Amino acid sequence: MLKDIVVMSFKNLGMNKMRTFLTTLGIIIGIASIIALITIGQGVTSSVIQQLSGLGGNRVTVSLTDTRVIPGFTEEDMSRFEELDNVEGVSPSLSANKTLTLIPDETHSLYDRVYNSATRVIGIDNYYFDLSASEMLMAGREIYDYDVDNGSHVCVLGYEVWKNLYGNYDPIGETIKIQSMDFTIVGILNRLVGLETTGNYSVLVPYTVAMRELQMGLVRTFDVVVSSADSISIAVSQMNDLCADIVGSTRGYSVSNQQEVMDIVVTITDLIMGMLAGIAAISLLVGGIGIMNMMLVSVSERTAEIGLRKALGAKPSVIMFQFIVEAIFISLLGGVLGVALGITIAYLAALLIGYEFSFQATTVLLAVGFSAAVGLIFGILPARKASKLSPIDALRN
Amino acid sequence: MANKVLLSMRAINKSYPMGDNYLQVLFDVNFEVRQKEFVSILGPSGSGKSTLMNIIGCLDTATSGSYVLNGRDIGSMRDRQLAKVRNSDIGFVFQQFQLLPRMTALDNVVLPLIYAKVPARERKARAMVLLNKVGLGDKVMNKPKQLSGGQQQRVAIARAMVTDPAIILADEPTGALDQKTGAQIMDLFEQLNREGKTIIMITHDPKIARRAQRIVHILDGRLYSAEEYNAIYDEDGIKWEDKSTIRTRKLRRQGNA
Repeated sequence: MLKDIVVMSFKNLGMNKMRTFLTTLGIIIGIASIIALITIGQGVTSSVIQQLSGLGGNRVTVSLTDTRVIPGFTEEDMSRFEELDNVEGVSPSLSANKTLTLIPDETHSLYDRVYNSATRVIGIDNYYFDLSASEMLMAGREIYDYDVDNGSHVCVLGYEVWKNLYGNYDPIGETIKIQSMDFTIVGILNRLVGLETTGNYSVLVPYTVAMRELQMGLVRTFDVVVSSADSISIAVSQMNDLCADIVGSTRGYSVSNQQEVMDIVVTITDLIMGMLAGIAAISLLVGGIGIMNMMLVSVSERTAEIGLRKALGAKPSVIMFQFIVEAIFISLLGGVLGVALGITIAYLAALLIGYEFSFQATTVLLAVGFSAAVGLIFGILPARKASKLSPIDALRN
Repeated sequence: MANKVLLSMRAINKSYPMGDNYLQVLFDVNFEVRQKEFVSILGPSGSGKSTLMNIIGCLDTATSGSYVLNGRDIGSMRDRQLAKVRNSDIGFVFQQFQLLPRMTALDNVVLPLIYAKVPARERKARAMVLLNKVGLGDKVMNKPKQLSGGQQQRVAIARAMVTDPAIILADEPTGALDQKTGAQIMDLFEQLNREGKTIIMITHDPKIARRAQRIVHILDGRLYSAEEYNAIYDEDGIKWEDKSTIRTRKLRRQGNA
């Protein structure tokens, strides 16, 4: 019997397609916004984490917070870090604004004249290219360890710098002047997203060249790559000791683990997404009230039908069941359409913002379950009203 | 008549709350219906016959008195038990047919069997038997709108019989039909009665009521004997005391013309 009643409820909704659809709209919008927000949130968070952690989240950042004690770390200082147990390597990074000059007649740049522009130059080593799990290079090659060791005059252009200077032309192999020194362009970065976006507007050179020849000073901050994530806490304490030794003080520097930064990022994004999802949940509430309203109208329209069904032997509980099933159907339909819409929105957002799209099945199940619950909750009142109608009053029309 | 008593009402009273007071609609109603009887309940509008029908049909319960239907005491039943009795023991036929407009004739007839939890295959077979019996075997997939009034009432009769109830309870079954179709429906009732169905029919029309074997008269909430009733109403259901005024009106109209 229950199956028959479920089928009847379903047919009933089909009779009034326009109204059913308009009623589901509230649920569709509510569920779609929740799904979209959660999925976008998860996507952004995970892409940020991915970029923070590089290949495994085993980086420790050492930075000088007070340059009055010492002006910066020298190459010798850094090599001391490199010699610590559990340390795989050191990845320094130093930046300064320098003048880029294109060579007239030789360049294929958009500017066929002498062009000077102050551009951020970052001295890095090969570890830089491990920052993100996704491919960082769009064309050419990375800056390798031997470039760093030999002090090669090579550079990699950030995406925006390349776009600005060359449009779509591939300038690999061409020479560009940084502070009147010739550098060969060996690579172009992909457009970076997430936290590490300064690279987009920068020119990357080997840090040894940056320190020795471009006069960019000493290193104020560098990453230490630890061999395994498990040994991070030991390595951190060793580095603290080493810093204290180099700086000659227990203040003026910081040794921080990417994990801490990641935890903060996750906490913040969770908080923001939770708030947004809460707001979206309010729209679900409104959608639920819409269902209740429509069901109440439906009950009063169908008093004669309800009366007849009761006269033919439908118990109050059966009538109640029929109307609750109708409400749940509307709500579930809205839930399913909402999930589809929400995922579409999240997918488009992923394309626009540029992170990797993915969604979790649990989110979908949660949303569908939630919409069914909304139907149940807001269907109870109209269904009770229907079940309590007297067959005499209902038939007398 | 030796048949067993199917329905028995003793000292039935019914009153409705009305403001601070009660409006009494039925006064000390006593009557019995035996198996295979065809009984009419005849009364003018406002006589309380609809209230009586509601109580017979277990759509409503009496304020006091006892009502036993098919061996069960109805007076002490709750809503859900009443629903069960309506489903198994009573087949309703209404003046306005009361078919569900969006369902086919077949689905309308099947409906009571769904509430009786009869398996799907058997439901359809039983409904088909009855639709054939009322002469609509070729119209089972039609919606009510595609059927004439008489055909719709036949579907309703098939629906009333499909659970094989103890009584068929018909409320002005010809009220919405023309004379000829109405007569055909009455023929069908007579046929069903000959085949052993117990039928109770509520009507205000003495001509229709006379098609039954026995007439129960009701007036102002009380049952009357045939003699008492006939002293107030003529064979067309018109009050004797109104007849002179009707005649003068008629004469006046003719005079004007």
